[in-house]
Amino acid sequence: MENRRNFRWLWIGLSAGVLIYVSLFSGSVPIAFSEVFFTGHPDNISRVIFLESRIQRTVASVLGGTALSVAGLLMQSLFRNPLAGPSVLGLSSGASLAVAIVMMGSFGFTLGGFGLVVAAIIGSSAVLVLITILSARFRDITSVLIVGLMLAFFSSAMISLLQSFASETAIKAFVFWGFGSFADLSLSRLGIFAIPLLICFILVPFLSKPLNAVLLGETHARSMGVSIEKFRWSVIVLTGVLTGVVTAFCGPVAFIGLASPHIARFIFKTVDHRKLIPAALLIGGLIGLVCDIIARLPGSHHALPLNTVCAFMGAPVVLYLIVQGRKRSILL
Amino acid sequence: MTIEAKNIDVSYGAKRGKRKVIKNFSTKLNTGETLVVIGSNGAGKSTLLRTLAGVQDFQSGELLWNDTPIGDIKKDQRPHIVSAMFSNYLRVDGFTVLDLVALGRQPYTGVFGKLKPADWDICKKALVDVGMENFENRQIFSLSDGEYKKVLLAKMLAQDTPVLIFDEPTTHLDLPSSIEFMKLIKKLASQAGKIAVFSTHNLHVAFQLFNTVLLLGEDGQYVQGAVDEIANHELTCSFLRTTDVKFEKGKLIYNIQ
Repeated sequence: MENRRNFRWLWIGLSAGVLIYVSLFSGSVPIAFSEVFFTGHPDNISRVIFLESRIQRTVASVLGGTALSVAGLLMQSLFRNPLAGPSVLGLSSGASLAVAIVMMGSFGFTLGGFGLVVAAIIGSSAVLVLITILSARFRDITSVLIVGLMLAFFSSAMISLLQSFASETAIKAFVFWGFGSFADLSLSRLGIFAIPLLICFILVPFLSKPLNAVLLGETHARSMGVSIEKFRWSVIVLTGVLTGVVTAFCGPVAFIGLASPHIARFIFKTVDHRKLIPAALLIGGLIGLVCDIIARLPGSHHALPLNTVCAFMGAPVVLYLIVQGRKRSILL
Repeated sequence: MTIEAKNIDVSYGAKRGKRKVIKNFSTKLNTGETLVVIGSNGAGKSTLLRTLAGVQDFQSGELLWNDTPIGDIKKDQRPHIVSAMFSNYLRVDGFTVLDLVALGRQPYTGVFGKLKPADWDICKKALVDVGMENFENRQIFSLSDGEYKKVLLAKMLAQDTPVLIFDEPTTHLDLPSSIEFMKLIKKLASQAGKIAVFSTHNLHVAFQLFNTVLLLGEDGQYVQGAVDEIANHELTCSFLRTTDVKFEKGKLIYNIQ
């Protein structure tokens, strides 16, 4: 047992190493490790690409993946719903609508990166608050999912409405943003991206005790001394920030948030949040890397939208896990 | 240890059609006492137990744990006094038996909930006390309902509280398991001096094992007393609603026509 556990960590460590290496050194222009670090002129093209694009992209895909994965885990535990996730429950749509309003609305001024982030956080948190209120009324899993779906429809209708009045450049920018990408972060924006996410990563483990208590339901958590209202708001704010920040910078990335926590549960065979939170962080980061690497189509001059890759990978994984999970009861 | 309710009112539905489920309810329990709560579906058994357990807001009256009003006891201190098992607890299949029992030690741990070796010993002893010591590493999903209920009981014992509250703990259990579970409750109350409150529809078993009964009737009416005392009470007659069952010397006699 102990051996198998160590083996698991070995595998994860190895794949993390390989993925980070591939992420740093391959892409439409493959670059060589030696050229960046040892030989070659300080201004050679490999080094420039490495320093000004690859590092940022790798960091962004790791952070983006972890953030969505943790957000998904928090939502699945809060709603006790294995199919909850930032994209499924309409959080990404809420953030998208907010971003669309900022990008295409006729404000007559540009809000810049920071405004976009704040708007996206507000958008996703608002949807989460709405779903929390409505889910208290319905109580069953399916209704909550349908509410999320309807909110997604509503925001995409609102976005279409905005698009019919917006300028062509704004529409184009918005459409590209909607494809999703971990590639568009400059070093200065990486800071605005990373800091709120890292703060959330530090705070989330403090919720593992109430998250475990809530596994048996809210009555149980109350009887274990958990202040449910405080707990719920903490989860909403953290999830809103995690989803909002990633959506603002990388677009409405689908499936990573839904699939990663399941893969973490599947690999680590636990529902205990003290282990599951670090596990979801790790797995989310790895999946972020994998999706971004595939989206680049290394060796070719083409690239795929991130969301295309996520959907291709995520949908079958989720289906497989649901079928397997029903059998082995590993869903939550 | 005492647990006392004074003139408690509980209503549901904040705005429209406020319905009082519990009206002017009072009771007092001392160390080692067990109270069996019976009543028709919808009579308010769960609501009453939730209230006594401190997880349900009430509109008026007082709830005292050890003579201290519940409002003056900090939320993180409450699980040191009362542990509870409610019928709406969800089944978490991903845990092992020992992991689930270990949840009972959480109120005694730090921010990240790490258990000390002494905590694990308490958990293992709790499993011995409910006769489930061979199930430590079993996955929850492989347990029967009766086994799962006993694991939940072990979790409550690991919580090490003077008061235990159970909401219909024997629902879905077969007759031998029901009897076994209630005997466990009786043993805990008589040997460890715990206060135990539980609701049940298994009257024939409960009346043979326990003496004090609280019957909740309609519209917040209630009567509390020894089995013999409530046998001929008018509330009992309206609760039974049938001539097929009657009380005789503290036992239920079935004579279904």
